[in-house]
Amino acid sequence: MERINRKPADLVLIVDLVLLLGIGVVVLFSASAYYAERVTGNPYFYLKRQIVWIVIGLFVGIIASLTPLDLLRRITPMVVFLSLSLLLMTFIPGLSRPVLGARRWIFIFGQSFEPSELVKFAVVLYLAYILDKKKVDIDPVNTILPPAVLVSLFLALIYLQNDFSTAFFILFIAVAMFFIAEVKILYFMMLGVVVVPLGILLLFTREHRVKRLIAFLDPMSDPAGTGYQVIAARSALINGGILGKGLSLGEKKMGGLPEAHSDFIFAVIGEEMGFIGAIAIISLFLVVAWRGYTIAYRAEDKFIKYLAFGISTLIVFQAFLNMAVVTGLVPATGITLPYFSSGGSSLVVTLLMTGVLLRLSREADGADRRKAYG
Amino acid sequence: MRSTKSNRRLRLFIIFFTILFLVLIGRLVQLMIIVPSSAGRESLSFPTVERGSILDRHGRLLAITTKLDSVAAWIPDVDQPEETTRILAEILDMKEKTIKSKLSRHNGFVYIKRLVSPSVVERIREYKEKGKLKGINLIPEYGRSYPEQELASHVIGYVSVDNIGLAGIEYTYNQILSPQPIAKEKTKVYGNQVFLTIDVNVQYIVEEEALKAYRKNNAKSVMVLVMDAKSGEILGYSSIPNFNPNDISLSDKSALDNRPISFTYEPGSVFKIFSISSMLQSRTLSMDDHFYCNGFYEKKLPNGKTIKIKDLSIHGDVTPQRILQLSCNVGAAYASDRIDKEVFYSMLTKYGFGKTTGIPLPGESAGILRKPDRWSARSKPTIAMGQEIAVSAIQIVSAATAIANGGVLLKPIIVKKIVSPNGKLIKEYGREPIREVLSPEVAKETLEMMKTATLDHGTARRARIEGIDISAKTGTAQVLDRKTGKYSKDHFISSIIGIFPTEEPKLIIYVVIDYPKYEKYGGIIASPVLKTIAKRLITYFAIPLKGEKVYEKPSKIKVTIPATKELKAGSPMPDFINFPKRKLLPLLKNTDFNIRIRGEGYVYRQEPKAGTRLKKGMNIYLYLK
Repeated sequence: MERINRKPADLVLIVDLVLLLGIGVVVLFSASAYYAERVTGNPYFYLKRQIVWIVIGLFVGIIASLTPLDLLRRITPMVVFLSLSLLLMTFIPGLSRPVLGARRWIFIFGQSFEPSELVKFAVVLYLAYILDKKKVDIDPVNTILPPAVLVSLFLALIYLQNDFSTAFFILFIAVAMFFIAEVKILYFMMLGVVVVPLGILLLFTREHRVKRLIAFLDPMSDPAGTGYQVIAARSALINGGILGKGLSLGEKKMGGLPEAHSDFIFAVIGEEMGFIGAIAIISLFLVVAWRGYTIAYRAEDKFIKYLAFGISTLIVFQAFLNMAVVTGLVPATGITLPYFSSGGSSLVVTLLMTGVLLRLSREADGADRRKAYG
Repeated sequence: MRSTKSNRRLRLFIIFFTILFLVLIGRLVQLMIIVPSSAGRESLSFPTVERGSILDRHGRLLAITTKLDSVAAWIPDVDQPEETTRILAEILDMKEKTIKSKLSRHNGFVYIKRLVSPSVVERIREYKEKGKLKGINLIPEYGRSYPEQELASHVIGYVSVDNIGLAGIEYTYNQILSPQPIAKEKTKVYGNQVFLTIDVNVQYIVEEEALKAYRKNNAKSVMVLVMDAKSGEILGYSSIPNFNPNDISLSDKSALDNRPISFTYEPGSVFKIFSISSMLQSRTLSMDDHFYCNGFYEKKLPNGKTIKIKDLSIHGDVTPQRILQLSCNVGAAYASDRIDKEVFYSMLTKYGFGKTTGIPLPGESAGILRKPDRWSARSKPTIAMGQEIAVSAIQIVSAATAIANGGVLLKPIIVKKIVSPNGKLIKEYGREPIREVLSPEVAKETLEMMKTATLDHGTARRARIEGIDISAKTGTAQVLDRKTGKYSKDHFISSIIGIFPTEEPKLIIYVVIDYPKYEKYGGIIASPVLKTIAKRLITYFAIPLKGEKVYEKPSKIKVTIPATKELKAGSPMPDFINFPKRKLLPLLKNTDFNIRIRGEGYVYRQEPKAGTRLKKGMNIYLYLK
């Protein structure tokens, strides 16, 4: 049955992804060359590394896009178990070491890996799987409680890694998926009563978070310290204007803007490609949302529906959060810009999810079948 | 299927997402279209901070912020790199290669030279008017200037080109001198002023004498500290070699070491004043105890072994007073027999040894005072004579405050007050007693015993000044050779501490000469230095000598020293006759003229004569005697 209904992958989505990756590499080179030369003596350092990761990521993504859904469904518990184990490994001193005050990475074979990136995908996959398997409307307590407990465990572990923003991000995705899975609004309200005070409590127990929050509310209060990135990013955007200074001609990345090649790469986009360029990049992400939500909307299979929704939300909301930080809409967090920021784990996992999304686009859905038959 | 509950919720979610992105796009419109067109760029610049001054206790400037320009290039605008390099190399006195590499290795903004002199600025302007040096810009910046040059350099410290304190008070008081602005509406912020306890006049005397001793003995280093005995305020703080904070690249790296707080050494016999007073205080020693010195200390241990410590000479029958007067090691060792090592240790920690004094200068060392459970059988007698313990000069001087102050230990103070830019007193520091180390009687007895060291036969007799009682103690310590682990045969540290007048101590002076090359004994080489400094300070502070009467007038006499005259091209040459050298030194910063200062003392002859019209590049000679 399944084989007969298969159609080619979504071409619009493929073109969109190629554009995102292509522009991403160019911007990354522009943003990192100066820093790379100063730190490593080789301006191509980050470019080379990014290309290697893209190749690995594409390989993983293609495998994912060729994986039958049944198999994916079957390996879901394994993916959850794997990401949970990797996450726990960050607490083992021999395998991980704190970087910039956070224990988020594990080091294997000289390579660092950030398990929380994989956790994002694992949570989405697991929720799609469990919410499809157990029909929410029939037995609410038995269907909501187990996934809620598991997600909470993940959140707790990531919080303990001192990664509040990722924890918040995953919580958002999980809530969104529960929402789509027709969980009663009453339960969300009950959740809110617990989570909101707890979140505020956890937010304010670390000095650096409070500092970031103050820097967000009033960056000028400490322009040389915590407010620095926020001010620098903002002035990069202002420098950019409508048309930008032209690719590679930005100034802020030359020391004025820390993390120009990772978390703050959108500021470089804004400075060099201007308002027009920034809107173009946002549009490319919105195309992902459009194609992904279309798949979700049309899918009859709940697993496909939830998974397509989860993956698209994950990618697009992460992009939104990152841009919101750079433009000063929300406090500085450690969220990267998918397809753009340098960093292996995030890129590989993003491409893995993209592969799965492409796979989902190939699965039959009611609407097109009707169209096909006229 | 499309109108399932799930899809209705999906639609709701998409609306929510759309709103999020509309907000984001709105923000981009605001930042990238509205703000740039409304000239909002200025509002995002960093507020500039004018770093506050550092002054001596009487308000004389030691560090001041100046406005200078920096030369920078904006590479895309440099159209004639060859010519630009050539001209800049000539004006800035830099190598063409250096400038070339700066211009070629960057593709945006690059500094060519930070903080250049006004004459350089003028020349660059001239070239720019001719249409040359395109892409080269002058950027106004703040610089830091130290008008007294090397004076008190280790206390003041220095700053980076970005005006961030890197050493001394500039470092510890960086936040106060250059506060991070809080108000965003202010574009300019002024820093607070820091007044030191240093008295420039005392400092000048101390540095001059320290430098003489440094040269005369061909020493590795000389330290002289002068402290107000009653308040703990440091009046003079000298460490030779010193450096010129205006340009630290000119001085030797070792000259930057702040030795009085960071260099620790075995103090030698000076330490006996602390060990003997500790024994008196713990009542294990009394003023009329007698010991016999036949040239070595010998003690049978319970395990049958005998320890033996040799001394240089035989002093015969000694009392505590004789131990200090003659600096008798054997006597000090025997005197330590009765004090319990725990008690001894606790007395020495009360004096502050083994701990930092907390003086607000970076890099203070705590020295070494081992815990009594790690002492060997030899430790007690050797510590009693000032070995097996490492101290810094500042520790010795602060410990001496207990002896000078009726037994009360004071905290050393280097900053007198902090004043806001508009002249409001923010904080004032004063006498800060820490604890009572000695009873007033023991402190008095110690001072009296130390006085006999400056009498005939005393080791500090060369420091005696007629008409005033000086309590002193000399020291000559062998330095451990790090390579062999044994005491060096020729590396000594000679020192002397003086507290005077004995009856009512006003000043504490500590002189340390590290590695003198010709003569080693503190009594011989350090005593005269103390004597000269003490004599000059007695005059300066008008400390009455015996037989002198003090006339006090209720009013204060004000003497104003003329401000240093300025040299400017086009204006007449000022009259420098009778100017002290110290007042001439700031002139050396002026690079418009070739200024030569010959000799020491006061100006007696000058070329050109006063009133001559000055031209740029002129030779100016000032002869002093």
